[in-house]
Amino acid sequence: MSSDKHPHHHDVEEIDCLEAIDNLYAYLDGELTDDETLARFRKHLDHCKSCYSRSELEGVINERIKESGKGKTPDTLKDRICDFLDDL
Amino acid sequence: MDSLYAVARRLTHNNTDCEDLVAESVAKAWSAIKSLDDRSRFRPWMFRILHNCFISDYRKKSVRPVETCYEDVTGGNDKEEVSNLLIKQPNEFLEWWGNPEKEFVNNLLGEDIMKAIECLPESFRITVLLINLEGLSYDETAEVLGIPPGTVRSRMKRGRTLLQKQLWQHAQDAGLTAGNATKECTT
Repeated sequence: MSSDKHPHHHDVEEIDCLEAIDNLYAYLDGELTDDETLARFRKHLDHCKSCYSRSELEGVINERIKESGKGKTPDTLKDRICDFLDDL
Repeated sequence: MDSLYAVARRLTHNNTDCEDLVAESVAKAWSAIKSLDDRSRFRPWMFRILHNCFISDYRKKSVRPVETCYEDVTGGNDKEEVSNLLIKQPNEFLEWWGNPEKEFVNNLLGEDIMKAIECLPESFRITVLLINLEGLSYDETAEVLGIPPGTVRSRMKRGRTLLQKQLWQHAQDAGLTAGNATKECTT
């Protein structure tokens, strides 16, 4: 095991698919911060076509949610809140 | 304001309730603003007020029952949790998830995904919305929902797996999956 603070993924043991799926969303959400876990996860993606495909699909879904999920507040609601604040 | 509106709309499924929920949340936040010591925590604090208003006033009006069949999993072995989760899914779905059709991925519409999110059980829906739509961290989401960060992580796995299953069903309905004919024969 490398004592490097940021282990390269060639230096770590590969995880299996269950562990990869367990870490998949934390990875995509930027929550997988432990260097060794990150390296092990990336090593698995380099070798596993299925988990790589899952990761790609989930990444596309994340992008589409960000693109299309935003809503614009209707003017009626903005007016209602302005009226409420004016009345204070 | 747009962020509150976007989340409220997916929680209530109803424009009138959504506007009422946002207005009530803003009013409550305004009256409680002095209790917010750290202004950098405004977003999670505001979403927590919205969520609490939803739980206390709007959820009980919903025609949909609050689903109780998907219990939170806390503690224990993460791999075992994932294993148990996957065991419950059809093999055709798991195979598809690891090798989705390129055409399906390329044509996947945000609108279809948002509709699928709206069908998720409430605890998973709010978690996915706060993280994937609003960009809150797992710690911030835990603060909003009043649950441990480990439960947020667990809800993400379960919620997103359920979301994938709905998208797989959508792909089947569109005739895009190879397992379509097989499924029709076996059900």
